Amino acid sequence: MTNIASLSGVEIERLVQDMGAPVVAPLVMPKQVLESAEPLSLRRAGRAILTMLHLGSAPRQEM
Amino acid sequence: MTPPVARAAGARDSAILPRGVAIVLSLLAGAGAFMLFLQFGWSDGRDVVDVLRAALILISTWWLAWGAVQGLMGLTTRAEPPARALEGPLTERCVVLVPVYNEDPVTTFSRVAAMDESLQATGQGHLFHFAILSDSRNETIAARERLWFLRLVQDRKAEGRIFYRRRTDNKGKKAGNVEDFIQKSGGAYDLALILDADSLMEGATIVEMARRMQAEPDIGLLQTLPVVTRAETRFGRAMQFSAAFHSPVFARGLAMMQGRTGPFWGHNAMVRVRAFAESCGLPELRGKPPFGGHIMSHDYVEAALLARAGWRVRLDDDLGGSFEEGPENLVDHAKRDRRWCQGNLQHARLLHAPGLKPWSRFVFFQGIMAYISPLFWIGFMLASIAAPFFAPAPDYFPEPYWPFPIFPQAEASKAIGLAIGVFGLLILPKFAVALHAAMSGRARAFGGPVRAFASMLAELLFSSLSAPALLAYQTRSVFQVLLGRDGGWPTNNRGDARLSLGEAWAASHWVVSTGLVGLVGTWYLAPGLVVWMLPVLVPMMLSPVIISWSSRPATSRIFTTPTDLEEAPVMRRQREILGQWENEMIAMKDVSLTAEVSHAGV
Repeated sequence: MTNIASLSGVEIERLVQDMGAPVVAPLVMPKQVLESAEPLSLRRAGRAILTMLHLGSAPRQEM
Repeated sequence: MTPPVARAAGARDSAILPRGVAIVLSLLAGAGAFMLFLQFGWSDGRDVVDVLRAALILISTWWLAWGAVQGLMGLTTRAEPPARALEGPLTERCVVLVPVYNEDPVTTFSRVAAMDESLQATGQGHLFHFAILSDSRNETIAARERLWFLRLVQDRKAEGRIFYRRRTDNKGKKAGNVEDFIQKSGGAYDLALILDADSLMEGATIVEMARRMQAEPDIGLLQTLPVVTRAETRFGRAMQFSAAFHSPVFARGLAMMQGRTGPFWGHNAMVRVRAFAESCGLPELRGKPPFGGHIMSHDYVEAALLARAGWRVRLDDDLGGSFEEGPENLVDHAKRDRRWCQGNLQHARLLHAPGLKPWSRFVFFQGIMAYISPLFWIGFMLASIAAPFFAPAPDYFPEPYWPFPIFPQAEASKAIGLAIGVFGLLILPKFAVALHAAMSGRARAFGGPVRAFASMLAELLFSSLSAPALLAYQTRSVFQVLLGRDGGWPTNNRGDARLSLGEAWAASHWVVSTGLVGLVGTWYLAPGLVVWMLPVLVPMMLSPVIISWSSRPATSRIFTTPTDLEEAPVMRRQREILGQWENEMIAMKDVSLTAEVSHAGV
């Protein structure tokens, strides 16, 4: 400890930079989608529930 | 890495039955309370306020019953290690992440030293690195971190094994800190153990977690049940006892219901790095805090995102050797709770996030309920005070041609029965845990059945006295968040916890005033309810005394926990290392301070 305590601030900074820097091994971390483009509304929620219960109209399909 | 969606889809979710039982039983309890209260309320005539009160009782009782059922279910099974064990050698590389934010580096780094020593003793230490991830904004503390990092590396001969880096900004708070590391260095590791600054884990536990994750490649996150340790104040000791005595049982109940979508509590948990990187990049939510901005309670969301991507999130409550520290007084507890409250209420924005598992959504809902449930009780109390003004005038002659008066049937027994039922939901699980501990021999680790039972009763009494103040803080937090006030990210107080009566008064005078106004209002508007309100209002008016008294050091042998009777090896080593470092720090105070001050200016 004596050695470390007697170091100057610059020396400590340099040593920490040399010894402390973690391994460089990048990894992509894509941002996840948590919010839908349209904010939730009572109408949308109601329509979703009706669709889930097969009570609402399904989106029209092309013939 | 391909997410294990196919395996997930084919795997049987064994939690359907426990989940169904818990939901049905708690709903039945709520419905029973609703019916009983309605019969009581309508005994003097039917009015809408009675229906409102019955609805509030339904929600409140359901919530209480949900907790009680979880505890009682936890008594029916024992925590067991998973059936599948790793047959070959452990090969996956793991990094232990220690995020710090203006913490005392001497204490925090002594934990790292003890854990490293414990890991090396397992013979598997070469597979593990440590990374101290500093977000500290205080320059003096940051300078001390650098100084003590060098000491740590020197002490542990850990160059190239223990790392330290400090971010230039705090983007994303703790979640952003971990994310930053994963993005820059995550590719070097298969697994990452995420800790808090006050976390401490046995090396053998860490190795066992890595072995389990290697044995089951579809596990994205493995959570341990951390045991609260080293509490010294009366408040801290009560919380520590409660956590050690009751939490394992409630965690067992939770584990029975987890299926593939278990919990993540933010620390003392291991993640599969590539799964975490691919699934858990947290976006900023639209708008400003408290509901917008970065996600505060990131752990619940990360667990939900891993499950969404097909990874298994599992709580292994059979694993020991996982420790943390807790707040030492009620005010610090309330400060931490303010942050959690904001984080949990923010999850309202994520209830309908695309693709989440239904149970993950339910977990968000539970987290929200944990904070808004006091509002239902308060609503019930206020509606009860107002009820006499809405009650219809008694009609003693409801039959047109009947000459004698018919008096309303007294239904007070139903109200008393309901009160006993609600009280039972609060205390029954605790008594059941105590009885189970005495019969199974678990109570021996708490000083024997007599002391364990006395501790349970003392904790019950203390929590009854402190609950009104805690609920008052919680309610204020909810209103602050709803009014758009951001609580920020305050540093955890891990120093001297003692609060004088003046300090306690400064922190809680508004609780006293609220209790006083409540008492006068009840006396004036509904004097018949005063007796029922006293158990809530009196502790509120005494809250400065309760807060100050409970922040004093505990001297009694009550609240004994297993770690008091038998200190875990890693705890003992951390205490020894810390003692040694602190002695050196005092002996070398001038040199150390000079170095720190000069360094702070760099």
